Amino acid sequence: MRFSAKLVCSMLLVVVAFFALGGSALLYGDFTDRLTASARQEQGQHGMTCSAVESEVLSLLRQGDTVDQTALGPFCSRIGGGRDQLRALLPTEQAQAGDALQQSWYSTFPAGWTGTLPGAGQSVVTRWAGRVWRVWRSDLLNGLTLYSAFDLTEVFDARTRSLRRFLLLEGAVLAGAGLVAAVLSHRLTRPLALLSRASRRIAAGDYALRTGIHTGDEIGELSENFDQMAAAVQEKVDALELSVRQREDFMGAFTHELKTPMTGILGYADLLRTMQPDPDEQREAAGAIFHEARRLEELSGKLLRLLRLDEEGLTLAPMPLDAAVAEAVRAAAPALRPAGGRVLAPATGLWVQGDPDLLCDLLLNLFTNAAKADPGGAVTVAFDPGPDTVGVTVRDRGCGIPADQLDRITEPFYMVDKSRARKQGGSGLGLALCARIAEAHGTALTFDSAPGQGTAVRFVLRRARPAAPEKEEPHA
Amino acid sequence: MPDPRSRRRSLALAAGCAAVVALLAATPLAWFALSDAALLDRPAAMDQPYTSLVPTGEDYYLIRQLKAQNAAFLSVYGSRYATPAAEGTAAGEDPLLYTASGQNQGEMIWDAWTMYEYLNTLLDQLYTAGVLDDIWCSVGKTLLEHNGERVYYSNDSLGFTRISVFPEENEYDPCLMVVVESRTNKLVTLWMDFGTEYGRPGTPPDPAVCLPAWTRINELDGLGDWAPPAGTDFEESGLYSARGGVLMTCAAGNAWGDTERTWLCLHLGVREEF
Repeated sequence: MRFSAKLVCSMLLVVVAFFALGGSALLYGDFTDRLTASARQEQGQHGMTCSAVESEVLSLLRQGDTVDQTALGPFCSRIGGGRDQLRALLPTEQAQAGDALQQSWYSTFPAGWTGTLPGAGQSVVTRWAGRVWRVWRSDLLNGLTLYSAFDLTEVFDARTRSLRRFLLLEGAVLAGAGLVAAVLSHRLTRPLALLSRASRRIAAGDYALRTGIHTGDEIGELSENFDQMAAAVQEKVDALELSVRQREDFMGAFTHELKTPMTGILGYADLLRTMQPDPDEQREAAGAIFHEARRLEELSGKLLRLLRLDEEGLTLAPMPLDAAVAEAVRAAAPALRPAGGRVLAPATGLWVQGDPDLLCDLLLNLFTNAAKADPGGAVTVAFDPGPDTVGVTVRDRGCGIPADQLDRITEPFYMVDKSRARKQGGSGLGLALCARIAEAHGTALTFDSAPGQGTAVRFVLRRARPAAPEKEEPHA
Repeated sequence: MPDPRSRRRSLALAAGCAAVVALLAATPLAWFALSDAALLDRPAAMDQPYTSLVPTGEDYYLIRQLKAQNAAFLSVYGSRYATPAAEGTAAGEDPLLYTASGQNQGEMIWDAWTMYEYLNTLLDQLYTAGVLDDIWCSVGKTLLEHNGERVYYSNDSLGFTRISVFPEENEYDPCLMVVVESRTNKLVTLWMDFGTEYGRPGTPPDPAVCLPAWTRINELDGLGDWAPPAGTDFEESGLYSARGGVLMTCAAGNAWGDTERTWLCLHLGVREEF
C-alpha cells in the first residue's frame, strides 16, 4: 500500500472516529435532554391526576359514600387524557396480582395491552404496537393504584430524523475529508517520490544528481541529508577513481622505471657477452651496469619503506629535533659536497614527538631534492616553534616547481623533469616517501614554490617534553 | 510496478480500512441500539414520587359522626360518658341537641323481620371480610336464630342505629348487639354475650386478623397509620390511628356468675390520644 494511501486511510479513520463518537454523544445528549424534559412534564401531569383522584376519594369518604368503581369511574372519565395519554385506575391488590388492566375500575389503555408496567413509584419506557410509551405508577389512598402512560413516539421519531440527518452529514464529511486527505497526502509525499526516483538514478550511476528539495520540514531535511549523502558518495567514488588512476599510473611508472635501467643493464651486459670490448669500454659498461643496478636497489629500498609505512603502525616517542637534523645533514653531505652545497640549520634544543629514523629520512630526502634543484647552493632549515608545535621549513634557491604540478609532486614516480631527475639518480619516490612520513607524524607537506625562485617545503611536528637535557650544535 | 502479492496485500488493507471506517461511521446506530436496550422495559424509580394526601379523621364521615356523637354525649350527659379528649374538645362549643338511642326493650322498637335479616346479612359480610371466623359467625347466627323473635332497634339523632337481640322478654342485657352508622352501614360495635348452650368458641378472634379486616370494610384503611397502641392496655387487642383519632378494639373472654358465659366485643371509638 502506498504511503499516501496509508495517510488517507489514517486521516479518514481519525475523522470518522471523532465525528461518529462526537456526533453520537451530541445526539444522545440531545435525546436524553428531550426525554428528561418530557419526563418532568409527564411526572407533573401524573401527579396532578393522582392528586385529583385522591381528592375525589377523600370527598367521597367525607360524604360517607363508598369508594368504588361506580363512584370513581365517571370522575376519571371527566379527567381522562387525549390520544397521547392513557390512564388506568384499579385496586392496588389487582395491580400487584399482575392482571392489572383487565380488572381496572377505569382504563383508557388499549385492549390487549402487553407493554411492560412499572412497580409502585416507578416508571418504565415500553414499546407497544409500534409506539413508545412511558408508563408511570403511583399507589393512592384507599388501596388504589393509578397508571398514567404518555406517548413518547414523537421524541423517538425526532431522534431517528436527527440520526438520519447526521448519517447523511457524516457521509458528506467523509467524502470531503477523503478528497482533501488525498490531495494533501499527494502533495506531502511528492518529495518522497522525488527522493525515490533520485535514489534509483543515483544507484544507476548518476552520482551528480541532487534532489534540491527545500520544504523546510523533516522531508526537506531528509532531502538535504540525501543530497549530502549523494555528494559524499560522489566524493568517495571520485576518490576511488583517482586511486585507481593513481594505481594505474603507479604501475605504469613503476614498470617504466624498472624497464629503463633494465634496458641499460641488458644492453651493456649483451655488449660484454657478445663483443670483445676494450678495457675502457668494459669499464664503462660495468660502470653503467653498476649505476643502473644501484638505481634499481634504491628504487626497491624506497618502495619497501613505503610499503612498510603503509603496513606497519608507527609509534612516536619524544626525540631531540636537532639530532634528526644533524643526522640528515651528515647523510646528505656526500650528495651536497661534490657541487659545494651545504645545509644551514640552527640548533633549537627542541624535542618533538617522532620517529628518529623516519624524520631523518624525511629531512635527508628534502635536502637531496634541494641539492638537485640547486647544485652548489645553500639549503636552509628554519624552525618556528609554537606552544605545542614546531614548524620545520626546508628552503632552496633552485629552479622551482610550476604551480600546476605542485599537486602531483608527491605522487609516486612523478617527476617534474624526468630526464634531469634520472640523470641525477632520482626515482620519483622521494617526495612520495616524505609525504607518507609526514602523514605518519600527523602532518602534511606544504609546498611554496615558483619557477626560478626556489622551493620551500614545510611541515609541522608536535612538541614533546625532553627526556633528558641535550644540546645540539649548529651544522653547516 | 508492485508485485501481485504486495498488490493483494494493499487491496486487503484498503478493504480493511474501508470496513473499519464503515463500522465507525455506524457508531451512532450501535450507540442508540444499546441505549434503547438499556432504556426500554426497565423500570426506574421516579425522581419525585407522588406523595399521597394525608387524610385525617375529619376526612371520614364515620369518624366525624363518632366525634360528633362523643361531643354530644359530653354536652348532654357530661364528662361521665365522654373521653377526656372529647371533653376538652367540646368544652368551648355550643351544646348539641342530641337524642341517644334506647338501650332496653322498653326504649327500643321491636322488629323481628327486617332487623333479623339485616343482622343475618351483616354477620355474613363480617365473615366474608374476615372480621369474624366461621366459629364466631356461627355463634352469632345461632344467637340470632334462637332469639329471633326478640330483635329490637333504636336510632340516635346522629344516625347511629343500635340493634339488640335479647335472650328473654324484658331482659336488660342483650345477647347480641350491634351499633351501625345508618347512612354508610359501617359497623361501630358488635357485642355477644352467651352461655355454654350456644357453644364454646374456645379461641377468641385474633385481633391481628380481625381488626385490619374491619378497617378495610369500614374504609378506614386509607388513614394509613393503624398500629397497636404500644404500652397501653390495648396493645394486644387494639389498633389505633393517630391521624383519625380513633381506637378499634377486639376482645373476648369468659365470665362466671351463676353460669359460665362467654363474651365478645368489637368496638370502634374516638380516642384522640393516649
